Amino acid sequence: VKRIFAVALGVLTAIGGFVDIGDLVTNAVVGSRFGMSLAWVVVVGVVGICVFANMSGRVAAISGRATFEIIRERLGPRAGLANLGASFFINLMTMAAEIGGIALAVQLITGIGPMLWMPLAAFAVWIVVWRAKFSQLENATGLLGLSLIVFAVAVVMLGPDWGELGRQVLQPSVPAGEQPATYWYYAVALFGAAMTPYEVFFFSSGAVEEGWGRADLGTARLNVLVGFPLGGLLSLAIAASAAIVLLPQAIAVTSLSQVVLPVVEAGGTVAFCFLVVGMLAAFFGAALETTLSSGYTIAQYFGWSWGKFRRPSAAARFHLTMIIGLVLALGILATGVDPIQVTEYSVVFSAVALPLTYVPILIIANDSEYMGDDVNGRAANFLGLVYLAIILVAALAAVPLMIVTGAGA
Amino acid sequence: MIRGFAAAALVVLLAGCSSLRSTVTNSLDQAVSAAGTAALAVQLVADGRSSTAPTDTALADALTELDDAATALVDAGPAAPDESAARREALAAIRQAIDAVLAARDDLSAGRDLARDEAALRAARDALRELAAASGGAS
Repeated sequence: VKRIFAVALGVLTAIGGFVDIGDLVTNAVVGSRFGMSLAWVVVVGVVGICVFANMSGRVAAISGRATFEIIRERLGPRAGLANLGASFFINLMTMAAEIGGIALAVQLITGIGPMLWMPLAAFAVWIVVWRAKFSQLENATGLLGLSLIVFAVAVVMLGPDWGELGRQVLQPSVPAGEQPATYWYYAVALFGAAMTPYEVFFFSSGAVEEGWGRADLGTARLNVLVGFPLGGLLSLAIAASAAIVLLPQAIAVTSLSQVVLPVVEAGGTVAFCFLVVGMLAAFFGAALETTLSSGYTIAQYFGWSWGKFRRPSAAARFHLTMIIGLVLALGILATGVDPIQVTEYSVVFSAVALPLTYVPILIIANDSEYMGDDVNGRAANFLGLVYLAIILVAALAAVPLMIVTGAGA
Repeated sequence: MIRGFAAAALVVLLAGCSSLRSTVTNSLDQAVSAAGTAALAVQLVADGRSSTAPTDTALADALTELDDAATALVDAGPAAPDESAARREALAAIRQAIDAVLAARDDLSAGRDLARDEAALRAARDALRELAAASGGAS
């Protein structure tokens, strides 16, 4: 019974923890402008994150070490530093976006502007990272994040033309009034949102935090292979709700207050309450994950003592790095930049940095020095190489598409 | 050589022309979206399906978008007579939408009936939509 409970808890937290502000905003923007015609990208992205999260979890469980520790050792300090710089930058942007997202969600409840809530949100993130146990923060935010299922409920309650939605999914095309370049720009953004690098760093470091061994691989695989695809369905529900309500009214999403409108139309204030709880949990959970990831990546690269399983005094530089990360994220938000714009840029730059995260994982997962007999099989390598090609195309296309389309304008 | 320069000059000229036209189109699309958001948010609160805080936030965000759309038009620089007329029309329609959103915000915070605001917002959105369609926008 205990094992079933552990598996169920893992799957549920994987679903609830899958969506962050990048997924939420990008799917809502795409749904409001392109309907369901980019649903295929979510499917491609979810399969990709399953492939690589599974791989990095296996590396951590077999070698007992997290991704960045091995990247530096295996690829050398220079390549490791390039990887660290890009990953830290993307992670910092994502952290700023998540903290800004918490502030915007609180604004929806209070009506008071987000600038007041940003420092409070950052403080709350720090205190939880400082005090709470790893499993507590992961389970609490993951389970509360399940409230976002209200998007799926809203889609059903809105009573859409299912045939039309299905047609958009199965026969994707660029809607009238949109440019093909903009369509592809958002395809890259959606892909970046689904495969955000911090998820892999967090997953791999979390495996070490929780002391995974070979015996835990089955549970970990189930969490990834069931939890992430169901999380992907949640992403599709977000896009569908926007496609049903906002697209016909020519409302293109640019703010969080627009994302909630379809859910409110479907379920009124009760649905709104569920949605706000879900958004706060999702953004807060992702803010915790990105804050921890900033500490993980730097501490693992420099070989410092790290981890929530250690007392803060035994991992002082790890905790100091996270505090500095939070202050930098607050600094970005203090410039008055719109957190939604930070989110949109962070998912596109995530796409640019994808090869730096995923190429090393593929190399290490094939290195028998670390993996022994548990190196990648043929199927894992085939999928890994296919995704490597997709990742490279997305990374190379991201910036030119951003320039050509004026960042999707 | 001369032909090359002439072609390049033509491209720059055409780019300049299309730039103002596309600014008008983009601003109108942005304004249609903002006015539509405000109309939907007010409709939901008038129907008792939403509350004051999220509606006020939606209206504030719509005002920012409308302001951005107007600023883009004002900053676009000098224009040919026909484009100048299109810009003036677009600006007038955006200002009408701004007035409607401001009035809705005032009535919302004062707890007054929002039926007239909803109608004004829909009228502003429809006017913007017509202009956007005429200028070849997505709306």
